[in-house]
Amino acid sequence: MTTGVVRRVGGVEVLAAVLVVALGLRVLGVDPLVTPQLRVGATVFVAVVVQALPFLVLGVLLSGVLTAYVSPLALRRVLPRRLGAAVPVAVAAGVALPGCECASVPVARRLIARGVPDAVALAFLLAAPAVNPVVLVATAVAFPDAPEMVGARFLGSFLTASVVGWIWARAGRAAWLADRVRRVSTTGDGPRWRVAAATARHDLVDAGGFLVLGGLAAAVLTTVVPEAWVAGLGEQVVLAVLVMALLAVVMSLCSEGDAFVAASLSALPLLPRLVFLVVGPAVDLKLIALQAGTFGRGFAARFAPLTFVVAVLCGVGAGVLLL
Amino acid sequence: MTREVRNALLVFVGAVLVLIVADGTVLHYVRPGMAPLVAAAGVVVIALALLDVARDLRRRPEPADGHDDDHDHGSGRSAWPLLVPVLVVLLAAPPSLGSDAVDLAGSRTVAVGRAPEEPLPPREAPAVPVVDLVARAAATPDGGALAGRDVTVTGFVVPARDGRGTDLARLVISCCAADASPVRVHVDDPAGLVGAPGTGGDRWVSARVRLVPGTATRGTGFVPTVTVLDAAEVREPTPAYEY
Repeated sequence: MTTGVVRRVGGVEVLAAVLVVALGLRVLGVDPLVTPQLRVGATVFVAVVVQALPFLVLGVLLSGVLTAYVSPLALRRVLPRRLGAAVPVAVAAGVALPGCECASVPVARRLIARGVPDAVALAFLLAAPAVNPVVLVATAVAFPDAPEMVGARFLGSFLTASVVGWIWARAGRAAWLADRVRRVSTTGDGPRWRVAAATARHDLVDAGGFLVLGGLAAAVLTTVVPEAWVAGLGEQVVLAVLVMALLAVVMSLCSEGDAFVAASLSALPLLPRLVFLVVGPAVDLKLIALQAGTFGRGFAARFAPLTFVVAVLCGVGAGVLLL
Repeated sequence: MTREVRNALLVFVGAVLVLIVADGTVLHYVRPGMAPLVAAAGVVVIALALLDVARDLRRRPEPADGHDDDHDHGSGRSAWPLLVPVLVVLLAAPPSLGSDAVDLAGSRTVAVGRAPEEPLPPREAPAVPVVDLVARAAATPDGGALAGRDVTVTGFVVPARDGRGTDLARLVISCCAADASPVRVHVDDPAGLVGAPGTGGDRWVSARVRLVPGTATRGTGFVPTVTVLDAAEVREPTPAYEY
């Protein structure tokens, strides 16, 4: 047991000691934020976590309810039999459910545990944060002079979710997902609300720790990545598309707010900014961390690159068509 | 990770969420509209942990943990990273973003174009958000509703982007502080009323100004110039961001 040592010392004691030391330093007036990067990074880190946690909590509550109250049979009945047709249905369901990307990860996990095919649940996972009405309205507000961005974003994200779903339906292996995703061990234990609570708590711990790691990575990289990356990219569209796609991964913005950041990069043409908006909700550091915690590292290592490539291509395709 | 530690950690995380809403520091990180959701999430997290604790207490007589819930117990996942935001908030209480973030944002500025339609309040020198002033100034070459009017703007003092003179800046957030974008006005201030940027912390200034028409152009990066008529140092407003 790797946790044996910790257990002998006692996790509770460690926790208490750490908190006492922290409070002691606070009382002594020690300010650890000594450089501008640390000050900005700490605020950005706490902001990402505080912004994401309510949506993650909402997601785990939904996943708990799904596990406790919705039978696998009912789910199978609403989905088309054929995988190819079920994928766009799941994407359309994502349109109707306004959720942050953090909320859709635990929900997708429990969909899989309830027998929904992997590819269909993953298409839902990609669609829910990207193409819902809240996000589209935010995009319209952020780009008042370019209303075509709304349609292009919708198309790019819809295509991304569908194409990744179809690819996973053909090439995905069940073994790439961690075993725990499919394990259904709480059913039949006590009243349903207690099953829901146990599922929610379990999913919260699985995803929460990784959310924190993703937030840390995003805060560090956001403060370290030089702004010069973006400055002077106006003329080189191909390079700008790639840089903006990477920036979307690094910054880990929530999909309701990323349109305003894209709008603020006014030195760039619309196409790279559209790619930023299509890639961001599909794959970013915070999401990769959440997915690694929820579905396993082997899954994240395959799903993140696949999604990134597909999202860039779909974003460019939608942009060429509509912008 | 034992259940006891996990539950204790969850209680701490929930408590921190509730606390930052109670003492208002949540506005350093997210929009005011998010605050009730953050508090509610904190309460739910605490409740989820306490439900488990209550169950443990009731079950004490039984040896070890019973037949069920081994998946809840044996999960190799660790909640220890959740301690990091708790510690950062307790130990450092990260402040609102200010001039440090403006420096890091480089040339990025809030996109212009959503100029408010309504006229300025009829009061003498009404307070106008910097982001509104910039949008109005950029929307019409002669300044529109701002033409010939005195307005009051509040922001922190930063060096101008070309290094000549100073600007008043604010940060605009649309979701959380991670997406903060700077917005600024350049001050024409021969009398030096606004003063220099703060050292070791931002200097906040509330200034009575008048727009110099035609200065918010693509050439200036949509940073309008305003003539300073009067200025006074003020405390950091709450919230420090504009939306």
